[in-house]
Amino acid sequence: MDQPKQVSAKQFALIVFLAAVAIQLFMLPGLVMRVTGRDSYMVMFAVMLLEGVNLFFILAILKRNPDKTCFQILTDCAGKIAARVIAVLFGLFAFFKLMLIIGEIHMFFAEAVFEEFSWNIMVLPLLMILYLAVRKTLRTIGRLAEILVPLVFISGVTMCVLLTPPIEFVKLLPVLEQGPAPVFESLWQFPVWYLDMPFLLIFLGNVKLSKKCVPGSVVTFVLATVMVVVMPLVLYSTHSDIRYLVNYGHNASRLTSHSAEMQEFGRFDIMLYCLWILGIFLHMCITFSALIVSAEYVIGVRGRRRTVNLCALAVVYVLSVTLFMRPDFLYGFFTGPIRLVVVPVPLLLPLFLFICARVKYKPHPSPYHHEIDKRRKKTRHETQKAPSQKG
Amino acid sequence: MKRAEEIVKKFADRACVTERELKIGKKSVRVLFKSAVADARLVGDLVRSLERYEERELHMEGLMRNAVYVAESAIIKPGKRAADEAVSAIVSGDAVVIAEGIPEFLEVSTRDYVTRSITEPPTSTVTFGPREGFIEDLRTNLNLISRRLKSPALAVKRTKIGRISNTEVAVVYLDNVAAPEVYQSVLDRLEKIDIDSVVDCHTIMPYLEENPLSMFAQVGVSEKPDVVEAKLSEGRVAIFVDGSPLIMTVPFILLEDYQNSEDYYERPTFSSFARKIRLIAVFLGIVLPGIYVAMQTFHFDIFPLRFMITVMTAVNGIPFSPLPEILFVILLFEVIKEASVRMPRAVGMAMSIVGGLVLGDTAVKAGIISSPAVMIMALSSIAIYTVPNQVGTLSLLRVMFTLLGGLGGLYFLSLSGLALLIYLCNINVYGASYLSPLTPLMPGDLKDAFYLDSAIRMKKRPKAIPNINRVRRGG
Repeated sequence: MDQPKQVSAKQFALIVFLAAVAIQLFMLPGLVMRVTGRDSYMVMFAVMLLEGVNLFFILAILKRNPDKTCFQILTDCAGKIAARVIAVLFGLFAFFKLMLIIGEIHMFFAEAVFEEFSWNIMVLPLLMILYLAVRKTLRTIGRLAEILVPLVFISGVTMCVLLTPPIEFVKLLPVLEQGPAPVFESLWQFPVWYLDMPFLLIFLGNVKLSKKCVPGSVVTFVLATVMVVVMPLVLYSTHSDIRYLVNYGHNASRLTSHSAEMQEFGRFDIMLYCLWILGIFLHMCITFSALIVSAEYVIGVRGRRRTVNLCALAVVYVLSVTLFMRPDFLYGFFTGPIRLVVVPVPLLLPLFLFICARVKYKPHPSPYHHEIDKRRKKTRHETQKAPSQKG
Repeated sequence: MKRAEEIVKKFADRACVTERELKIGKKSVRVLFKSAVADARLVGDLVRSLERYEERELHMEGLMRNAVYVAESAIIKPGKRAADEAVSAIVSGDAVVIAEGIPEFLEVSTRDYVTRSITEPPTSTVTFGPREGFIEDLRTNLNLISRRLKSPALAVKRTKIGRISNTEVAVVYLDNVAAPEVYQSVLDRLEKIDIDSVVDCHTIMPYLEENPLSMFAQVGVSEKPDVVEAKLSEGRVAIFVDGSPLIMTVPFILLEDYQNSEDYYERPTFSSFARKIRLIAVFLGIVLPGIYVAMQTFHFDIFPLRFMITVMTAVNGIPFSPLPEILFVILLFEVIKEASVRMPRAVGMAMSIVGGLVLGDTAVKAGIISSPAVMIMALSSIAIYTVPNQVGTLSLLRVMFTLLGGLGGLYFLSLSGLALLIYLCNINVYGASYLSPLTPLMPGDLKDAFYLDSAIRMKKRPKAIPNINRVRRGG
């Protein structure tokens, strides 16, 4: 009676867009600008290239073996113990990423929106959202993406337009004034911010594969890349070297507030941010899903999602109102040695799973079986119809 | 005749059951009926035709075929529940024939209920288009729908619900369009209902809903045969309840309430415009007070400079902070609305004027509430009435968003909007997503969702509603 609880191909393509854009546009440019200055767009391009490679592996697994989940492949290839170790590290990365996003959201609202902000209370509804979104299946996230991604896209484009005049590309010159070192430094310092594609691994085995799935995902990813690269280009070509204007993230919000005539027209850009931030919330839900799925796999429980969910949220709550509430700690922690522990697994996991799937399984006989069936039926129908048409 | 006496004994007031005794051949036959709800002329015809009937070997099958000229008659087979079934038939207005030495009973429809005439339903009036509406009589309602759908595929499955009321319920669908799993699920759910009486369709509505405690309706209701006809031809299943002029339909999706029957009787371009206006109005209706409170409390800088000066001048000297102020106006409006609905019509209009104009105007002049707050609330209240079927839900959402906007500004508003979306995304009604065709996105179905395409171009039935025949028309 109920529809299969999978994510459709369209929804997956939109999730790809969201995963590629949400953090990269909202948080990363400001940080990268502090280190790399006007060459930030190169960092963003490199980041998207890396994410693109990861997406390639994920799509390749999805197309070849659409029925296999991430942990199924891991268990079949690496054995139960190694798979659990990898799952722990993957879950840990998801957890840290979640803490980072919560910290950034705290800073955005505490700095740009509210004068007084009691985070101890304000974080509770945010955690409730996570609970609601992950309570059931990934289909909920797919459906949400279908509604929210167009809004995120429109608000992102509008923000770019708001920031645009007057563009002077000459402000981007000279290119690589201090050599390529700052670009590499940014890439080395902020991997926790930009690694988002590995979270899409949890969608393996949960996507209704159709012919349009892979091209659709590629198109949305390319679109996201253009947005992510254009953003720092526009920022710099409009406002010159803004690295001294931004402390942590939220450069865009600070810039729009300082843009000409904003006082005259009011800060309606905040409304756009609130739309945009819905995308961040949704990205958090994906990250939290990855955490919960990994935790369930590691603990080996099934059908106790509510308990696992609540326990994880309790830990997230405690840490988000204590340690990770302080921006200096947040940035110090995530640019510190911890990244060397948690980053390699999500960075290499798509590649590892891709190799495992190729070695272990044969390609699925007909990944788009329902489409093939439909085509066969159509051909049969036309063949039957043909004589009568002639007659 | 012992069996007849047993049946009569089951009635608290035995005098209400009328008995007619006659003989067919040598066998004694009794006709039992309840004169208050039975048609005396039909019963008289039945008795006369039985008296004229002659057959050597009397049996109910022959009696039904050759003596009773009423189409709706049935044989009650002998068994433990036979007497109860006979009683149920008598209380419904049917006559029961009992023949000496024959174990079966014969139930003949002789019902005669007083019904009102078919009028235009007050909840869905149209300028152009059909004006007839359903009434409280099941038979009339089925007649109205059968007259519109003259198809052998129109299936009507009847059942009785209510231990005391024995209310007749009919499940109607198009056999060659509706998905079997949908109507089967409806029939199964109805089968499981065990209650005393069915006062109205709303009594059984929660049993048909996937999530009965939700504030969102998951069963559609309509008082108009043209609407039910359209829904049946899209593959939905209609549930008719005797005594209710409202016909329930499933599967129900959120967007259905935004579609007005008049949309289909206007030019599609105008209907599309009207639908967008409705959507915008609903959005404004539920969110505008919340945004206003959030802006005044936390984000004053969002207002453009000149607008900010106007608002600040207007709210200057108001004793309440924005949240209590707007909540007070909401309360005021809800009280006026509630009183105007319940008041006798003669004083209703006068009281509305006193409540709306005098009270509001005086409160503003007295400096208790500000004029922007009254204006925002007036706009919001009018806006939510563009979708009358959802006024209750939208009013509650408005209060919720206002509270959250006042407590946590745009941050809480964004989160509550997302929570609402997550909640709606999780609702599935009889295989249809509650938010379809928006999600899962069905581009073909959008032709009759946010806008209305020409009927010529709507070649297929909605994909969102499970059906077994997607082709709506050829060519």
